[in-house]
Amino acid sequence: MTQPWDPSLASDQDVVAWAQGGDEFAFRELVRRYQRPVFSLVYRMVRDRELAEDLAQETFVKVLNAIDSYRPEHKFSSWIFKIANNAAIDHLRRRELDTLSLDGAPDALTPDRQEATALQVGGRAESPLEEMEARELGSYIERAIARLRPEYRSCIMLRHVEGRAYEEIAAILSLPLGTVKTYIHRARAELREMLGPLRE
Amino acid sequence: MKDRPNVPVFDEDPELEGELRGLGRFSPRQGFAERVVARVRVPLPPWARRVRDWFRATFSGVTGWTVLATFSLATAAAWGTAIAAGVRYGDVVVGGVSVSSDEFRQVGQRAAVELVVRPVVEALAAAEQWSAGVGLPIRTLAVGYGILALVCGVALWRLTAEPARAKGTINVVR
Repeated sequence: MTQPWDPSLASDQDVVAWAQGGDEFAFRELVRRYQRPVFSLVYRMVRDRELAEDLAQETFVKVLNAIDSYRPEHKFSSWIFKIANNAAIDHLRRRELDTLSLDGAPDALTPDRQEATALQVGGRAESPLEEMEARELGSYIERAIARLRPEYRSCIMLRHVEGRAYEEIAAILSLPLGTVKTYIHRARAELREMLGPLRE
Repeated sequence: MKDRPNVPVFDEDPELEGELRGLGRFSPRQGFAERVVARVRVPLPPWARRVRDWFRATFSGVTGWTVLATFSLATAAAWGTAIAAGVRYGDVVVGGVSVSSDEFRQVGQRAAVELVVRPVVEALAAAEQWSAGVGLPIRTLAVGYGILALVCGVALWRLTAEPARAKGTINVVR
C-alpha cells in the first residue's frame, strides 16, 4: 500500500493501516481528522473545556495505543466515538456520586451549619476559560441540550452534529436500533418543550 | 471556533431542525495533536516485529541452564579455536613481528603463569597467612568455602529450575 501525496484524501482504513505499520504521520493524521468531532462530543457532555480536553486526550491515547487490535470490518469513527462517549459517561457517573449539595452538607442541621457548608457560587469571578465556555455553550439550544439525559445528549450530538446514521449510533452506544430512534424522538420532544416558551 | 458540517436532517419541526443544524464543532487548544502523539507508543515497523516475533518464538521456554551451557560452550569453543589457531599459525597471527612458533608458545606459557598460576599461588599464600593469624587451619577454610559454593550452586539451580507445572506435574498442598 503506497502513501498518496495528500494523506487527507486517504480513507480512514488506509490511514489506520499505515499507523499499524508504525507510521507516526498516520497517527497525526488520525488525530487531525477526529480531534474536533471527539472534543465536541465530550465537551457538550461534560461542559468543561479543560476536562473535555483531558477526556478527549485519554480517548485518543487509548485508541492509538490499541491500534493493532483495530479490525477494518468496523468503522474507525464508530470505535473512537464509542470510547469517547464511554469516557464522558463514566465521568458523569463518577461526578454524580461526588456531587456536593449547593444547600450545604447533608448532616448540617442548623441554619448556621448549613450556611457554613454550602457551596458559594454567586460571587465568584469568571476566569477567561469560563467566559469562553459561557460564550460557546451559552446559547438557548446548547443550554437545552445540556439539560437532556446523557444518553439523549449523545444521540442528538451524533445524529445532528456528526451526521451519523441511526445504525452507526446504535453501534457506537451499544444500543438496539429501536432504542436509538426512541431516544432521538424523545430528545427532540424535550428540546421542543424547553425551547417552546422562548419562541413565543 | 465553530464549523458547520453539512448534515442532512429531516424532522417534523423545521425550526428545531434549523437550530440543531446550527450546532457546530469546537476545537481543542492548540498543540492537542502533539500532546496526544507524545503519549502514544508508535508500533514497530513490520520487519522489526517479524524479527522480534522470531526471537520470542525461538527463545521462549529456554531455561537458565540452557543459556549458561550454550554460553559456556560458545566461549570455550571460541577460546579453543583462538588458541589452536595461535599454536598452528603463530607466525601468521603475529604478522609483522617475526616470532617463531616456539617463541609464541613461550609467550603463551608466560602469560598463563602470570595470569592464572601466580594469582592462585599468591591467593593461597595470603589465605594461609590469614588463617594462621586467625587460628583456623587452611583445610577448615577450604571445606567452608566448598560448602558455601555448594549452597550457592543449589540456590542457582533452584532459581533457574522450571516451575513444576511446566514439567507436567501437579503440586498438591495439603
